[in-house]
Amino acid sequence: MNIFGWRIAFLIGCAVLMTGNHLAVAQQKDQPSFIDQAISNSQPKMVKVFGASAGKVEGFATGIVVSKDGLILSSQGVFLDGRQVKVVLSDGAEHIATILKRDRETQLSLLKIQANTPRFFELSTEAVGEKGDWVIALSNAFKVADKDEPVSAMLGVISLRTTMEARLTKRDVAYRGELVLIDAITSNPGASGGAVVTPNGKLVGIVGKIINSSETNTRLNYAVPSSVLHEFVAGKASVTNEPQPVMERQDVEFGVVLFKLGGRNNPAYIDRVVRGSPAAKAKLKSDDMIVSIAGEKIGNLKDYAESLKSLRAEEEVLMIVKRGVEMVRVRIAPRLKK
Amino acid sequence: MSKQHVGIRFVFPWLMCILISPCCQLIADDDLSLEDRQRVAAIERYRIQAINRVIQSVVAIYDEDRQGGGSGVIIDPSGIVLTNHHVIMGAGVKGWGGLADGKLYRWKLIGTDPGGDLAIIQLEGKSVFPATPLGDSDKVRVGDWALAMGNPFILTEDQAPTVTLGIVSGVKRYQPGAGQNQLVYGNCIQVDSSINPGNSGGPLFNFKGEVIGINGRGSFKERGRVNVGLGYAISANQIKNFIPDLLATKLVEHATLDASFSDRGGKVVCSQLNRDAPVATAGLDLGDELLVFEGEKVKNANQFTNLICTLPEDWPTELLIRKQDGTEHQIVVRTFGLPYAKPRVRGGQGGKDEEDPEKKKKLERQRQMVALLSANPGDIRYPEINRGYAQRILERWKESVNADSSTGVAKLSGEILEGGKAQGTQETWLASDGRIRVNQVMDGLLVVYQYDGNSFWQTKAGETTELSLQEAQSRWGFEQALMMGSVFRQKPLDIFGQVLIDGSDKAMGGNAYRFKVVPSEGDAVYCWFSMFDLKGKPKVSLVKSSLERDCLIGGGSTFASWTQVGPVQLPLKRQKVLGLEESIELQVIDSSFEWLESVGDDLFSTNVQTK
Repeated sequence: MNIFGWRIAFLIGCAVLMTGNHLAVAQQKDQPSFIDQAISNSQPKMVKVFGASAGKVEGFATGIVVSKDGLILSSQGVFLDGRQVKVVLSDGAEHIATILKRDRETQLSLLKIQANTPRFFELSTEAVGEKGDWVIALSNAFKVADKDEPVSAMLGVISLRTTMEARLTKRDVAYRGELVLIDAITSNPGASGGAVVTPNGKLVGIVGKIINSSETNTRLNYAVPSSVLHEFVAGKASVTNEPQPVMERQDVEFGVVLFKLGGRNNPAYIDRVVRGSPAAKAKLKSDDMIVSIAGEKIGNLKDYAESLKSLRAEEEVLMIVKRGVEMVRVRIAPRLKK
Repeated sequence: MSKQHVGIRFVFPWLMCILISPCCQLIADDDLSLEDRQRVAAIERYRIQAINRVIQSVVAIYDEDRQGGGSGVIIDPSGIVLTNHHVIMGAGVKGWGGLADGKLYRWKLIGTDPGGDLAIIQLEGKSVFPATPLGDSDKVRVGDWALAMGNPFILTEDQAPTVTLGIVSGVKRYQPGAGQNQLVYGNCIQVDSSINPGNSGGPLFNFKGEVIGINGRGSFKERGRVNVGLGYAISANQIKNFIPDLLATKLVEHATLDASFSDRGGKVVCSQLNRDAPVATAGLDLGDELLVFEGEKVKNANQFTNLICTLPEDWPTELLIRKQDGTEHQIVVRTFGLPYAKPRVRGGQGGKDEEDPEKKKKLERQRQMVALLSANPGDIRYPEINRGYAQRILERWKESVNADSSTGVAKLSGEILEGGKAQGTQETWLASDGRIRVNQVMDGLLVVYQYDGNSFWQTKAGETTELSLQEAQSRWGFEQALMMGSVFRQKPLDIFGQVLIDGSDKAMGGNAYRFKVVPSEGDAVYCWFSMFDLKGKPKVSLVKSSLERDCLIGGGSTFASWTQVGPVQLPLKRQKVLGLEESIELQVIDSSFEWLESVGDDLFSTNVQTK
């Protein structure tokens, strides 16, 4: 048996040994899989959310129905800032949603649509699912599903339940609180707000927003646990109706003048560094090619301009430049444009 | 039982108890029963079995220089391999394929479908290859286990494929194409089994030992071209529609009705229509509602788009439409093809490059690919290769009816019915040496047809005349018998001329190979052979024949109710059908049959007296 076989066997072994009850049933002949029920029970409670896109940030997400009178729980982000937010139910029916509340710390939003939604998820105050349990993640990653097409299902395992103190420098990506780490690749565009359920169909949590490490360019796959969701919906502290004040863009610069060879597709080569600027302090040089800012790939001048839009003055980010044949990493904080 | 099995079954549980009881925090309870551990072990074995059943049929595809990376799967023991079109675009028209036995075998390209990213290559070097059959992709459900196998990142050192396991994440998914009408994945299967560069062209298996798809695409965005949990496979049922066209050595186009449909107020209506399109001539109008397409109820326009992606050019598509006045109409028409952009021939850089052997090879390969993509879509590029496959299919037909088992004569007797009413009777004798006799009584008149192995004879009202092949074929009673009896010949259908696979078609509701048999003089005759039986298992059987491709002038014959007659299987129900809708005009249903060890020679020779 190759390495994959052993890993899966070990995982199943752990799952069995630690939970006792949940024995993964092998799929025999024409029997439905052991997760078939969980998927078919959950699909009617899934929604697709469409809003405004901003630059590289996508304008769509997934959501779950949490009450019989049209309350929808999703992640929060720039897609809610546009003129209209559209929610598409599992039967394809489209509704305009109003935003009841949004929260920056938990990155959650509560929406309301004018519709009866008899199939909804119960939000447990207790922890649902333990380390080693199978989970199914349902989401509309990459908006593959259109209209009444069912959202996508992924299989994984709960790796860990833990808390996160992360405070990253790009807006909309801060998350602070408890989370459930899973090994299904849920960190994809449009997946946040999706449901993570047990094979019994119980909600473990919702798929969290993309958290990308600017150091390693790796991501976490996690669910915001149902207890946190319950608190948010039930209306405890630290929730706000207002859109993020930080939405106001700042005009920042690093103090570099880039080569402009006509056309925005050219790589971001530094022509010269302005004296006394953040770039000078970070010891950037002429002919350095900027390849990455805060974990985002900079392929050309257009990418560079876009990246500046989402940075804040005095907030340090990691920049990677190509100097000759070497990759040089610098920590650099932009300043307000004069 | 292997040492491993013994270990898991017997020693392991006891060892576990000893090791874990004092201190290990990882495993909690001691109420973990032996039964539970055995169940886990059984699940592991089940999964390992499912993998071992199919792993030998996976191919690591390389170019002629054993470079590059793609995958494929052997779906027939004769060495027919499925892969992606974009894999052969990279590899060329021939190369090497590695199997799990560690060996490399040569392959060459047979036919390709750029529209749906599918190609067939032929493996050489063995008479029997390990193969895995295609399953029914319509039975696949979200949540089913999905095994992907192939050569991602060209990791293999010993040609054994990499196995990745996941679940089916979505079915009937759509991924738009690239270029002009190319690489569209319609009605495809979405999986979270890792699909990475190198997996392309490789199989997606279920746990029942069947190929349910060919992996070829994934959703990629910011993370580069590596798996992020969304992979896509061309569905097995789409593949079945293209196999005959590909074996025919064609460059295949995808179907278009030259009409589009949109969602309007909860209905799916025709929103664009080319007036010259066959479907318009057949009665479709702007504003008409599409109710059923290819047997599926159409709920939205997306569904139609998905379904038509799975069909090749020329496919006889069935639509049920509702006109503005409320009346419903069934339309069956052959589709046009969606064209590909002709490749631009990049001229060589002249003398210097022609000298360099590396560059020369590269240039040659470019030329081959350009020639391939410049071929006239639908043309049979290599008739000899095509003929080879045609002969093999006919051999399979002989095997499926057990034609070479013994010598004797089958005698069938039955009624001729029109609209359910008896119009006459028919007796048919089919000899194992290929000779034939039919006694047909219609409206009280007896007509006798005979084939004595050389010539065709008709006896009517006491007069015996010799018929040409054409004349024999145009008499329905004679034509059916000649077709049925053909299976007994050394080379079936040889009396009708030279065989070729004409392309993919549908006959009697199922996937079929359409054959074209061309005589040295006169018109061609068409025969359709089934690819699968009702259960979906591969089975070649004669299902239809006609002098006309759409069974219009003169109609066609269908063959059904295959029954054991002595040592062989014969169709006891033949129908005269008209048009692509195969509407039934006449039927012959044989109620009695027998196998005779021998008969008098005068049965098949002329000068026989009619009553």
